[in-house]
Amino acid sequence: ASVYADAGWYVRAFQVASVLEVLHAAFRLTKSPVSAALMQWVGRTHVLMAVTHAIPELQSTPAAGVLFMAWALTEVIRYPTYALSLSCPRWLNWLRYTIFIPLYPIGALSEMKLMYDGIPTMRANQMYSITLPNALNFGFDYTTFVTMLLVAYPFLFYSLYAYMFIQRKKKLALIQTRKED
Amino acid sequence: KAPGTMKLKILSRSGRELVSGGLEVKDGATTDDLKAAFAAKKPKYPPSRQRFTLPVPEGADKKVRGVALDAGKSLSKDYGLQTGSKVCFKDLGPQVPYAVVFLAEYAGPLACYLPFYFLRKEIYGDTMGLSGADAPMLLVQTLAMLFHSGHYLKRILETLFVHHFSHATMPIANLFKNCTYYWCFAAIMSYFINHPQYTPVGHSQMVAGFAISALMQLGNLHSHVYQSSLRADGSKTYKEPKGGLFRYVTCANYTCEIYNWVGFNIATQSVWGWVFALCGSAQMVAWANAKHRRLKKLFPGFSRAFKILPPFY
Repeated sequence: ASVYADAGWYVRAFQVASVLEVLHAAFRLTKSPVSAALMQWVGRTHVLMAVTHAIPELQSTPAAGVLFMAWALTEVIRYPTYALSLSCPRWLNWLRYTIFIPLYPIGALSEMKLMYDGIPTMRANQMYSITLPNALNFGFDYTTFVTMLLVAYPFLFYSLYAYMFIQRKKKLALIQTRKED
Repeated sequence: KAPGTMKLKILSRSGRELVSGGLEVKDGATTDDLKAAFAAKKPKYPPSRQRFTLPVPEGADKKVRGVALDAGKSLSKDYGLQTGSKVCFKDLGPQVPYAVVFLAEYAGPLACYLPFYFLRKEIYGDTMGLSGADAPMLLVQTLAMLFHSGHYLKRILETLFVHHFSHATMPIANLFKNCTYYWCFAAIMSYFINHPQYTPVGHSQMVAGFAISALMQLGNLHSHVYQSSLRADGSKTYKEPKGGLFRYVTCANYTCEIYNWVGFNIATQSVWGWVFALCGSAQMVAWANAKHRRLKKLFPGFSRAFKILPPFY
């Protein structure tokens, strides 16, 4: 049995449901920028649904297990801070804005590993691809797309990671000044 | 302090004094003189990188911007500044001339589009191993190449000989952003249009599409020449565009540009061509809204039948 076999259904259900975080940002119920929320959700859902769920051989790999662990650890801290909101204890807030520092790169690397390992299967089955000729003169080679995505991933990761550090500086300073009041 | 001069307090947005003791300028100095004086004290900030505003009133919302000191205006007469007055400085970051950005972003599409047409056999056949790469080009593919290239050649010539830009420079990040946008779209559109397995539309549709495109490109050129004429006196201020199509549309130049690409895509029919037209249109609609707002503020009573896209908007 693998982590994916045991927890896969729940992770898929809740990951897809977490599109709500993007909608909450879009309707200004939360203050997060929509672009950051969207990039995060699309990235994770793509790796989970389009790649890992679609390619069974990937599901029992260490990368899949590590990814689930990284996501789980992050969320198990993040959601309680939302629930507790202003009553959130200082140590929990600190944890939320610090634990991403190792977990984010671990998660990103696991995502990249899964995509990379999936490429041979994607290519063999021409997954999600549209071929020419057609009336709309549109072609889409998913394998090429994933390859280019892997090249872009470090840059996309960097921008989200940098944003998290900026948030960390803001939020941890805020708690400090509130404590001093 | 010397007679006939005033000492201004130069502050950052957070209130920090940037020039200790203040910056001395002549009483009759303009914004440009202020920028020159500041650049002399701080060579890291050439005038194109400087923006000065009057301080924001106490307790105002963080998003409120101070009144900007515009080029050519007198500091004392137009903004009431005197010794001890405060001005806020903002660093606009490294700048690059508008013309440089335009020339780079328009020359790129020529380099990105043409190889797929002229080196079709080498790219699709030899490199990618597709069949039919040495078949003769279809008429629509040749015309598409001519229209696409002609369009960007026109833009380059307009940049060199027609446009009078409001601002001399823009932030350097725009150079990379804009070039990526134009160059990538040119390449991807060209890849599919010149592909050996490209499916052309019917002859009448092709002719209609290119006819619209040609007409609109002429309209766009006409609009640009008219807009240029508003600044024939060398000024950089905004004049109300009233002639030609501008009588009915605030941004007639954008109208023609959008419909030019609509025509091109009717003739060539590719998803990426339409995506390019949509992205450009979305950006132009945002610009048209801003332009319309600005003209309404500058010329009270300004109104037009359409902002950018007759007969819709």
